[in-house]
Amino acid sequence: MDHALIEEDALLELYAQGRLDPEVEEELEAHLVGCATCQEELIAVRGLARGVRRVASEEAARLVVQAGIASRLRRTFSGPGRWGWIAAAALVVFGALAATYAARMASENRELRAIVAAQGPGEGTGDAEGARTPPETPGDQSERDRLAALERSLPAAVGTVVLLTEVRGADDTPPSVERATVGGPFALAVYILDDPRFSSYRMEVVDEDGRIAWQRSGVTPNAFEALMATFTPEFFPPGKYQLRISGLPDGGEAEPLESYPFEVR
Amino acid sequence: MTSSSPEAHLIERIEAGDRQAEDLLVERFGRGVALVLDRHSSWRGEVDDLFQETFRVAIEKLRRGELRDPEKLGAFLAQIARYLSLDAARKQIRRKTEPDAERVEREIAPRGNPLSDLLERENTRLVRRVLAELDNDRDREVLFRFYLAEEDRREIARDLGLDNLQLNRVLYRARKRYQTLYQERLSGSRPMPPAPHEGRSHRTLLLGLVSLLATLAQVVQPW
Repeated sequence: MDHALIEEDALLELYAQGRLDPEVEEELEAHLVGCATCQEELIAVRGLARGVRRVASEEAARLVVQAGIASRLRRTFSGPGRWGWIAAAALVVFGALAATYAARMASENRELRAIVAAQGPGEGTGDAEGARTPPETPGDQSERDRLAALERSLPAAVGTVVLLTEVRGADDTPPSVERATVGGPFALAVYILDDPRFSSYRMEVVDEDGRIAWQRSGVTPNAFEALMATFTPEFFPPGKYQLRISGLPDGGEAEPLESYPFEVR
Repeated sequence: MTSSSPEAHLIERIEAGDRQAEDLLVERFGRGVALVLDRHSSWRGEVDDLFQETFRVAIEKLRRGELRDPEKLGAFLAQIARYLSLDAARKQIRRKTEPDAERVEREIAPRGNPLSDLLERENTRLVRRVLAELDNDRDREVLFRFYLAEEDRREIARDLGLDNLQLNRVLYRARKRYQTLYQERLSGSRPMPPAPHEGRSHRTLLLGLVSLLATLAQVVQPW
């Protein structure tokens, strides 16, 4: 099989996704088995595809984590008073977010591009693609206003999200939570790929002395593969902690998976 | 191809019972066969088993002189690998167990192993770098829609006002950049830069998320 054809028709990309016609696939495989160049290319395609999915999952998890905090706020501040109103306002903001996104998801991609373009004047496609964006409508203006309001509101409404990662060495500083500045509930979140061996997970925070400061079992990853727990700033005294994640199989013993350090100051 | 071609010589040696030639066959074609098996199999353990089986069957056939055209050696191996994969899949269906696409991905990038987890994180950083270096948001949208939502190329091209060639160029450039970064990372010729998103503005991130959610909606449709 000709390399030019493979490049021009993106055959390796389509092959990796299982979207080639059987005859073409068979022909490509016959070539692939003996072609080191195409093997390297295919490995790159797969790595890129896997990375794109993981980046998307991580970014989506961040958004979902933020949305989860809104829900937590509603429960925490359900009574009347200033905080109740703030929580209600936050929920309205997130309701607008969900409605906006849901509407946009159901709509055509051209509509989506219009919103993206409206959101980022000067940061659009940067080429002739802008000319293909449909003319702005009153609905687009409304969506733009709502998204702009959301964007302004997000940092104040959701407080702090601490996305924990593994610490690889002495040079890698664990994330920290500043009690004085966090300004409200904060969330600890970890990215996790659901493992079929486990029906749920246990999240456990231990202090420097190994004492359990908080524990919750039966937690499952949300739709975007994040485990999350929300706390008030006063919940943890200043110190160093570890968030430990264990897998819980049905009828079996917990299996320790990952440990994520963080610090409360 | 003449009888003095490397493939013909290799086959002759295998027919003569040369064990070193059998090892050479695996060494030379092993990665390609593994990639084919990986494409058609549902989990890593199965690939390992089928890999062994593919070469066992192939070597037996070669010893018996069943491959007449040495030029077809690659196709011969690919055919055995594909047949064994399909056969394994049929047996799996008879056991009423459904292939699990998520499991495939997890097996390709197994977790619970610190090294593989580390490699996956490094890979993610590479891809973030590639995404950040793309010329414009349109190219990022192409990648998300192609690799994440797995939309049809023609639809993506039509929506974005591209022709097939232009779309393929976006995919090609992204892949080449990824390969370059990957090779640099392997050779340790330059330190890994910080993940680009860490320095991006909230506004840019929000824009990215809007685009991202559009693609996710077509995959998971949570609402």
